[in-house]
Amino acid sequence: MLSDPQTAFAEATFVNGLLGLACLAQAVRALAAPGRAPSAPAGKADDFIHLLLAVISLGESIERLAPAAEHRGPSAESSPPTYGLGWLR
Amino acid sequence: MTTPTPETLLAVVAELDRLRALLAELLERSAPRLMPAPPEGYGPERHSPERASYELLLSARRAVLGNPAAARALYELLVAEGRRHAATPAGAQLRDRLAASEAVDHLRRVWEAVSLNVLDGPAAPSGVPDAWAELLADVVTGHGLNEAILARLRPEGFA
Repeated sequence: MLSDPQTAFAEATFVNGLLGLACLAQAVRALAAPGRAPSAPAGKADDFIHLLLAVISLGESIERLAPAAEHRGPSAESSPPTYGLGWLR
Repeated sequence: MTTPTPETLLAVVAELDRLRALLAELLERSAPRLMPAPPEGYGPERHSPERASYELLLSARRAVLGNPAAARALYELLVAEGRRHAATPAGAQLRDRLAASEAVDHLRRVWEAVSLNVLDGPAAPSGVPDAWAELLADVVTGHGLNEAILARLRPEGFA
């Protein structure tokens, strides 16, 4: 039922989806020409380029969610690990 | 005229969904294959990066061709997000580097082969892109549904 999701499954799927998007964003970022490229002609930055930019932007947003995992308190250390949530925190 | 029962309406919805799945299957079978396909295999090579990338591209194509309206809406959302990111100094620099990249040109060709460019061009609000409808018409008429048959299917008064 929609009102009764399976918690562990939902967490794993959701976090794996975020991970996949973050990995995709890193792969797209690696395609960018190294260094500061000269300004491209206006027509060159079309919808496809902006689509790639959006993927990178979303990936960066996802990665900004992660560093807090290193600052968890002792209570969090002793609690049983929940599948996938450590990365998100 | 009698009012259709909920069961009748649900049957219509189910039938429409069946037709949608058939159309998606027809499009997938008719679309050019992505080449080269990595070898099928069992064991570690089955999960090779090439196989994973190939499966990802195939899934993207199925998602686009099978759900054109949703894919178009997502595409527009992402492009808008990309334009917002490009309005920042870091985003603008990244945009220029992407636009100057030869690898991105290669990726653009891959994207065109995957999406068949059906997400570009005009589209009715919340509707399927015109390019998708044209692709579908090409595929259907290429499978034995000629103009004479289509004319018999149209309601009276429609050319």
